[in-house]
Amino acid sequence: MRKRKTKLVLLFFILPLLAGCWDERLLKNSRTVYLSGFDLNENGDYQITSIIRDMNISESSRGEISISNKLVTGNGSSIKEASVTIDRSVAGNYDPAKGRALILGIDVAKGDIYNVLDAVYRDPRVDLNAKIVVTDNSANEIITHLSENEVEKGGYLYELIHSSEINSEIQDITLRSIRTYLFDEGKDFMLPYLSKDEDNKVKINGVALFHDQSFTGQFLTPAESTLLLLFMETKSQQALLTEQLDKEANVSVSYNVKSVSRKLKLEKKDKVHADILLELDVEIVDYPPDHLNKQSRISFLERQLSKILTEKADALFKKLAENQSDILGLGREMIAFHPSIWEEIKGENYYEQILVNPTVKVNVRSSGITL
Amino acid sequence: MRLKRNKSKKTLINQANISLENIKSQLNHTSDLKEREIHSNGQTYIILYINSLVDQEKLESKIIKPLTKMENNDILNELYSQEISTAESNKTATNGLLDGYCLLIKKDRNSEGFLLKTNASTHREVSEPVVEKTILGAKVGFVESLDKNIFLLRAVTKSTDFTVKNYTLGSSTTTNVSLVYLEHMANPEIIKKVEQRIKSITLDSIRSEGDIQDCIEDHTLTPFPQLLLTERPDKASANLKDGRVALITDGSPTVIILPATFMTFFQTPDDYITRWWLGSFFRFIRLFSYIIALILPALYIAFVSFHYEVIPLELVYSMQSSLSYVPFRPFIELMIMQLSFELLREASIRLPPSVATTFGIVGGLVVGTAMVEAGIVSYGGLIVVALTSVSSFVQPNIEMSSSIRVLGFPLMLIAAIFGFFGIVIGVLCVLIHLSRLTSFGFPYFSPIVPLNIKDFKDTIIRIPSWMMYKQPKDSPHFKQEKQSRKWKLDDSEGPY
Repeated sequence: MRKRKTKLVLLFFILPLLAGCWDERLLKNSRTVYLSGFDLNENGDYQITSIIRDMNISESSRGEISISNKLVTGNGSSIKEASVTIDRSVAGNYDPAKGRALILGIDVAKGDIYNVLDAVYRDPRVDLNAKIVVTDNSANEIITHLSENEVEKGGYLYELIHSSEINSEIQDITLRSIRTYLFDEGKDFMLPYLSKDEDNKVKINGVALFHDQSFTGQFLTPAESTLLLLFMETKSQQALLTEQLDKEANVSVSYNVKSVSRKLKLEKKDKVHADILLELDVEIVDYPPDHLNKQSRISFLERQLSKILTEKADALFKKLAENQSDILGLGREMIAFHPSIWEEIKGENYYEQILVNPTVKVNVRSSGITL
Repeated sequence: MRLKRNKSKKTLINQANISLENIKSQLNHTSDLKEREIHSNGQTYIILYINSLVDQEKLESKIIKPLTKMENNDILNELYSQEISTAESNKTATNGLLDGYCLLIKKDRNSEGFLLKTNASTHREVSEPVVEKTILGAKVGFVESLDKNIFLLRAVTKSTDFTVKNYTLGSSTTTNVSLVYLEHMANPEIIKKVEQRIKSITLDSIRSEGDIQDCIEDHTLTPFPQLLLTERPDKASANLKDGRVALITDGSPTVIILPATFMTFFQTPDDYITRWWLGSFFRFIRLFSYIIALILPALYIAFVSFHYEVIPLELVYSMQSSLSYVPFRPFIELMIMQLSFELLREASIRLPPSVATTFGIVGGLVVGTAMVEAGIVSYGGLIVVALTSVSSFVQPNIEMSSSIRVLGFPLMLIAAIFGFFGIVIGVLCVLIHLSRLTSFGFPYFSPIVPLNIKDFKDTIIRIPSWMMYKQPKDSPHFKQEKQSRKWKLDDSEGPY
């Protein structure tokens, strides 16, 4: 009996060692990707461009750090094949897991982006908090530019996106959250739109509108996207907007939205009418004519701003309707609360059936001078 | 003035088994066995003693001098010795001689043998404890004398409950051992168990208290100590007051406290001297550092060989850069580092303090940096090993911190094979093992297993002493008045 027991114990110790599936991945052998981008080349193959970062801590000069970026590209008819091509060309294991941002070239974005993301989702080690951006050019070009110019700062692109998110200029979308939108029939999304400006600097130039799983080709300016985010009630830490009140006198007002409340009414007539009333509590942060202590001045501002914003919102929703991009998630709203209406209009292009009628009401809550 | 006599005057009924020749042959006619004849008042006395064990001064002034001036041959009353007993057999006589007594025999009748205490003492003065240092605690440590240790313990534990029981252990050489406890505080069952276990010790000789520990502890195969060793009388006394039992071995400055639970090893006298929240904080630090020292090397191995995706991006690059020069696997790398630190630690114990400082600098700093620069270990590995050894030094008890060393290596190995999964399994095994351990039948991992949240108040944290009026489970006769801060309620005047 005792002998059998020892044998059993021995067996349990040896069994895990026999399985042979030692999944060790040594950090020193890995080539950690810092940024990667996806393009379609002329042959219709996928092209991956990645920056592999190496840091050298110099021993002779007391721990001085020097950073070198290595640009690698690989082609293949699938994403996996392309990354295998890269793996062949680098010393060590090519590992995209730590990449904090993915760049989609315009050609890839205009197609079904899930073709690219599928391979990423299948890797269990991928950072799901990675950001996704669309570029107006090829991802290759942006990455080449970044690898040459933005070497010192860790996660440059990530920081760029993050600060725009804080300013409520772009929707907070990560690899994790985008997946729900990709497969949600009643909701679309927008991705940061990256471009190089005249000074050859990479910056976020608004957001790219998506319909289903592909880029519509249309994009919103940062101000428009802020307004849209307010309509979605997903304001981040701050939302700064500026409106011109008087063109001739060049009077502008800048204000920060403190809180948002939205009332949405869906009604089925010949089309589905969506009446959205947006109430904004704002704080004036920049208004040279001042005299905000007078109630008349405040009512004037409120009236003006409400008028301007309602006009802008009208234009914004027209733009969305043209591209069938239901970023507000009206479809999802109907699925949840008006399933009968949804049954009638559902389908690929349900957004055509929806007429949005936005109204914005601005309440000035603070003159912006706080102690 | 004459000193108090321990033995009552009793007539010697049992006659004449003392034979000088017999005793001498039992002691192999050793050269330092001296014999002296003294004539006094018409009587001839023979004094037999072992020269090296006897204080000559005492023998002269307290025994020989009064003996020569004795008028009525009443030994029990005329001699000044602190302790006089009658030797009833050759065996007791030889044992007495070995303890430093001298044997006094009337020559003519050859019957009455008296043992008179004249032992020399070479014991050092009481000094500050070396190993268990405290900031504010008493600067008194146990010494190598049994009597003095009991005195030190009694001095801080004045109570009629204070009970001492003596045992003599060992068959060929003997060692005196005393069991000390507070009668109404200690659990009678535990006392019974301890007595039973001590009596069953049949070792040939006792080298140190470690031999006793080996014989009486519940589990011998575990890395966790189940008996608390301390060299501080205040710590021993505090434990006696908690209902524990102390075991003092002659010739050793370390006292065994039992039963000890896991949490006992994280307490120091300082916890009770500083204010309660500070004491609790330090205790948390100790527990935390224990966990750190146990699993940090294993975590590091798992990080760099399996799960580097959980390391922040910036750190990945810098760790990678120093790792890329290391030719070994992370496990081997850490083993090299840990073993060299173990070497340093062992070596520094033997060195005189003046050399040890230099040695620490050369060994720790120079070798450490040189190893990184030579590419034998990485910066990360060096940091981990250094943190681990610092954490293990935080432990107030040496035996407990050694358990980290013993458990750390298997955990590192299992982390190198299975990553996080291995660490989880390893830590689980340790926890299961801890939950199964007992110390004299008392659950070792209490109050966590079995869970008793009320007892957390003086184990994991330390609440103010006036709030500890409910007795903890391991000391059933603990009594304390309910409120020591009643003045606060009576104090109607308030601040002025």
